[in-house]
Amino acid sequence: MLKKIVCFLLSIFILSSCGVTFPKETLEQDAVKLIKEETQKDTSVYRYGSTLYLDVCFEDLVTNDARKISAIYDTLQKIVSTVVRIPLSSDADIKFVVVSAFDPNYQTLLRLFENVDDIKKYANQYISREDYSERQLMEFEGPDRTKGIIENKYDITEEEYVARLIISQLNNGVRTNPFLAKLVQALELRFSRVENNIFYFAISKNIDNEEVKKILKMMLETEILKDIQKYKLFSVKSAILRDEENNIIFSIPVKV
Amino acid sequence: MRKIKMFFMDNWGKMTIALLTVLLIVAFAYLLMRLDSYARSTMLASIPMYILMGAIQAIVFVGAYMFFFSGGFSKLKKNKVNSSKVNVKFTDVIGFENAKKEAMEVVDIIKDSSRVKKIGGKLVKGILLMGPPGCGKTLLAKAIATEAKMPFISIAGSEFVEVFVGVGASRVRKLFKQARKLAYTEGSCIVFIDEIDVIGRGRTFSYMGGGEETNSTQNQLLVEMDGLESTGQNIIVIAATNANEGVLDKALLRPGRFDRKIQITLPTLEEREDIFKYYLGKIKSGDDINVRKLASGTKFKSPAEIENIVKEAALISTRNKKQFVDMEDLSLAMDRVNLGLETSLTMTKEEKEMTAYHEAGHAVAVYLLHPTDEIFKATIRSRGGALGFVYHTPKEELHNQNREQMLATVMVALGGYVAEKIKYGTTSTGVSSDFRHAMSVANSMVWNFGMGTRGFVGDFTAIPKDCMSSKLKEELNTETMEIMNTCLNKVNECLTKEWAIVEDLAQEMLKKEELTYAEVDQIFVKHGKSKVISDKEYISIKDSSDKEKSENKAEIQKAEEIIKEEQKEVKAEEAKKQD
Repeated sequence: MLKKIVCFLLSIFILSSCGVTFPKETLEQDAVKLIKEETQKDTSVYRYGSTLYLDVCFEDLVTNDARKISAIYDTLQKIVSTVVRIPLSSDADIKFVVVSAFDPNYQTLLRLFENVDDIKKYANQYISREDYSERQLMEFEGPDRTKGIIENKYDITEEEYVARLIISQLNNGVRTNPFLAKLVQALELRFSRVENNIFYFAISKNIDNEEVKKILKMMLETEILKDIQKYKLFSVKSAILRDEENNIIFSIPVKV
Repeated sequence: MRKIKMFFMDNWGKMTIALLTVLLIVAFAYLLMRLDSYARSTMLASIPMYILMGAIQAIVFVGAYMFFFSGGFSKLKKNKVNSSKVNVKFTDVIGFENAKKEAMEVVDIIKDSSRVKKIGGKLVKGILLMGPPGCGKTLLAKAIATEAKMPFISIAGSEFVEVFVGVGASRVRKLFKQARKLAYTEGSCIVFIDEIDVIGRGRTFSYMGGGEETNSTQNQLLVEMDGLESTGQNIIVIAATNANEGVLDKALLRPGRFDRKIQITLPTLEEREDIFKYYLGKIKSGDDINVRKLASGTKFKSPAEIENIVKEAALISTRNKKQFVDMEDLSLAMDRVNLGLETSLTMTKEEKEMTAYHEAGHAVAVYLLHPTDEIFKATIRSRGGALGFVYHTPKEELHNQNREQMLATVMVALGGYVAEKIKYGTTSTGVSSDFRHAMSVANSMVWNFGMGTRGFVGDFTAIPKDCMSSKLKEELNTETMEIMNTCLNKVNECLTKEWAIVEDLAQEMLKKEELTYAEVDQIFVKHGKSKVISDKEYISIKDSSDKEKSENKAEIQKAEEIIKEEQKEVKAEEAKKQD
């Protein structure tokens, strides 16, 4: 009798484990509902190909109150950790998740990009915590570009993701290292596009100093090589940095 | 109701574990279903590894715990016998009618103990089956198990013996605990201990205060059978042993423990006939089989040995590609069982001839001089170290030997020596075993049975040798030699007179190597000597003796009736006188 009960229960939960929690047909609605349950925040979710966009509004995003910033970051962290569950437990083929937190008062935007493959690797301990933290992609945008970015949603490719990651890592490095920031005069790199396996980057202002160019080139070269090897993106031929007038500042051929 | 109660008492632990397991599985299934599919898949993928790790831990830690704390070395194997599977009835047990009658009585009492209790009597606590090996003690126990239809626990005495001290007593406690449980649920229980002499021998106590390990086992058995707490439980212990009563401890044999002792002896002539018929009935056998002859040729054989003979005969028959077992196969089987395999000794012609005359001497001595024995077989084929032998058995079942029979035994033993002496003027070393046998019989006649002629009566072996005078020893030895010489002279006289028969027998044995009783008898008949009674004559003798017995019975009844009538008449006269 006991054997029959055990077999029955085993068959129930094996069968129940066959279905996905977030089917692709109702993905967006489920995502909105889940985030509302978990974080009590209203969000908008959009899916473009294999990219899932999530827009959330924070009215106090621009503040110098440390407690508010901390609370916002906690909520954002919760949103990110909730939303990354969705592609893992769904039959929709989602590779990237983009969480956009914007402040409508100041039209500022913080975007967090999550690579679903990286999340799986980290969950299954294929990559270390340090490696995973190096793959964090954050972008900050000001009022001039926020509206365009929010409205312009599309399916992100892996090359674009890697290119954005390179830029994000470099910008983070500059932000966090005051000496570097002083040296490069608080320059900010931007992602432009990926075309014919060539990374096109732009810079926030013109560079006069050759030393700065040299440093930037060196940093970019290192970062490109590291990330290309990490993601095995060996088709990339080169990376080109242009200025505001679209002049090429330098070009880095990629040799792996 | 009691069964249900006992079931819960015995299995509460298992039931609790089972219930908890079911609850855990249900909870696990429910919670797993509530997880996201990714987490669920991850969990399910890791379950086999968890199960493997759990199993390894269980084997190493839980298994060791179960072994050491749930019985360990003193754990008893499951030994409850299912009576329906044993299926041996009293009708399948042949022979020892008295023992069967006792056993049937015990079974009746066990089945309906209320009758005994009404009178105020007590149930039999223990029954001891004693007898030589292969007589049917275990078979009788099986029959009791089948007929009683009670729970029956079987265990061998050797199962109580273990390397570690105290394990035997522990096993006895466990056995009786199991028996008490069965008695509680079923009414009563039978415990059968085979070969009880392993633990039932007289207890030994050393001066140091200790004793053998079996002492503690036996003490526990004594206490369980009739100790302080053993009242009111319907447990009957049946034990079987080959040993004598004297070997077993007196405390075990006292009333209240093994108060019934059933002797299971070797079968009588009639019983052997029945046993042969029973086993021959199980195989294909021919019509020429003389069961009476077989029975008379297997004196002192146990039923197991008789079964072995029949089995061996079937194998011999199969080997010879026969369709059924005949008398020849049975005869060969008896030779095989009694003397072992035929050995292939290459004898010279002279050796063979000497052996033939030697055996012929024995055969003629048996035939003409022995009052009770008849020849079963005479052969010069070597078996078990002997170059030849004459196999002779008493015609009927005898339990005592008189002087004439013992003298005849000596004469038969000397027959071979005399034949060799007459034929060749010399003898061989082949007479050594015959002399040993003859000397021992003659010696026991004088020293043990007072059968000498000089008036020395008594068992002189009871006197210690150093208390006996050398004169008395000499006298007794002289008397022994006198017997030997007297017998020798008689045999010499007989064989010289009937030398023609010896010659014929010897030549026939050289030709055929083996002679059956019929062939031997034929030679004697040819020379005008016949001693063997035919089957017809046997049956008529038996019939006449049965007839005599029935006639005697009728006469006795008649006499009793006459006496009753006379008594009535006497009473009537007395009554008249009083009036």
